[in-house]
Amino acid sequence: MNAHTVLLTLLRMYRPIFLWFGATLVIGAGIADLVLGAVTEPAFSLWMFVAASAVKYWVLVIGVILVSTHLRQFVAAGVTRRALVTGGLIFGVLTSLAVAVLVPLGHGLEDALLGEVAAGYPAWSPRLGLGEFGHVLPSCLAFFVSGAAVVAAFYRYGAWRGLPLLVPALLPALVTEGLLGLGGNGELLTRFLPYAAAVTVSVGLSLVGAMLYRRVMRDVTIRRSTTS
Amino acid sequence: MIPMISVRDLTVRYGATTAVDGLTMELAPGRIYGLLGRNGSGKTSLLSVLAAYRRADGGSVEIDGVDPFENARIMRDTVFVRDTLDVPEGDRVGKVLDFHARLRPRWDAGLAERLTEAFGLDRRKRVSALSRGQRSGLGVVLGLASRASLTLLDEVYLGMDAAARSTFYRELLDDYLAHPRTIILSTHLIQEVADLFEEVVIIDRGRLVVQEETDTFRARGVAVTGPAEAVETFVSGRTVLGRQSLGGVRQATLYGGLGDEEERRAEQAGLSLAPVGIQDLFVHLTSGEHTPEAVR
Repeated sequence: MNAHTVLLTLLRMYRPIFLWFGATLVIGAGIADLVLGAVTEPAFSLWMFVAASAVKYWVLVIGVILVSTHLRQFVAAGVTRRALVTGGLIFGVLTSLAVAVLVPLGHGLEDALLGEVAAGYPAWSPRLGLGEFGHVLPSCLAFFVSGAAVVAAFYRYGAWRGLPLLVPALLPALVTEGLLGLGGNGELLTRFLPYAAAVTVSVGLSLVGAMLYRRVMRDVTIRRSTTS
Repeated sequence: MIPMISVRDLTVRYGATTAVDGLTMELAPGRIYGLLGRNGSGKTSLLSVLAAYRRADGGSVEIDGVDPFENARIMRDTVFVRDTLDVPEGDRVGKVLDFHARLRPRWDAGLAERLTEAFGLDRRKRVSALSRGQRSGLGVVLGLASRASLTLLDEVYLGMDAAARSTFYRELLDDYLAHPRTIILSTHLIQEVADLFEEVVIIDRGRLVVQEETDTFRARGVAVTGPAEAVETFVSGRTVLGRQSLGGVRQATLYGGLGDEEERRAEQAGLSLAPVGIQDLFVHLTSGEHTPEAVR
């Protein structure tokens, strides 16, 4: 059983959830935009307000579930920790890529759907879409890694002994949140550092977080439950 | 024969508690082993190491000549079912079975289907909604349908009614005969399952007490009953596991078989000899007064 099998299994498991989540988000925001467009010329992007802030937390939850649920489940089915960690990390990267594409795509669709908009609306352009992708992707990667690393630390060492690992585990998400982000109206926020440097720091910390996660998980005992 | 499982000085600790204490044993492949021990004797810890659920704190374990920990080949071919099922509580039974079917190379879908019906499991029901007995039934389905070369079943019958347990024993034996493999069955229902075991492994306080063919082990226990004085004379110099007296009559449980000559001598002394069940032997051997060293 290798990482490839784990990746395929995770993709198969999450496919219906992805579809439901994506469809609900797109249809829900689409209907709300249509209603909004009918009564006023919106001065803000509902899609960016809802989707852009939601996706990183959703990816964080996947990182959490990877340890809290899938570790026992996969090892009990004869999968090594190494294969689960590698396959899970690749899955996290692919998921982050998918949602990083979904955010600008949805924004473009919304822009086309609304037609006339007021001055404050962030009009979509390929350049803006690329910027959104470039901000969402590192953010999702960092949140995914932090989610997985935090739970791995607590799972392995328990509440008190796991506490010191909370800081390095949360570092990718916290630092990335400080450096890069999207505003409530989809503004591209790059703080403290130029974009290239901010991305380098974010991705670098995510890699360190992934290594910490891998280190903690490589010989972890499979407990009877997440809390025992 | 090269042992399939070789355990050398295995130690497992939980903080200051030593669960397995320098245990050494070898298990040949293709047999059903009964792993017996009292609560906290180290059975689950031993099985957890064999299943690569945890690393040993000391000593070594080899399965087919290699350390099973994080060994993809060995882990793929080992299934460990413990009383707490290692499946997501929110998943439906059908999803759990499909998941294992995808990952277990020798999964028998037909057997899984048959056992699912036999244990009255509804594929649409969520694991969290299953009764204790049904959860155990699901564990048995996963354990047997995986057809793993090393099948470790740890108290898998919890909550099962007599009929379900009987189904489990029958299916286990039938499937084992059709597809021989190494099965280690940890249980407290010794009397009920004893006939399944080809070999008995008893551990107490983390140490190996007995590892023997079931029939040989069974023959080691003899209950000698008769006048107290005659019983004491007869048992003098032997390993006595327990004594019970009622008035002038005494019964002593001996560990170690008797030869023809000794049986004749007992008869002449007016003593009656009776076999002792595996459960009684187990109770005597692990009752606390008898350390592992005392019975070796």
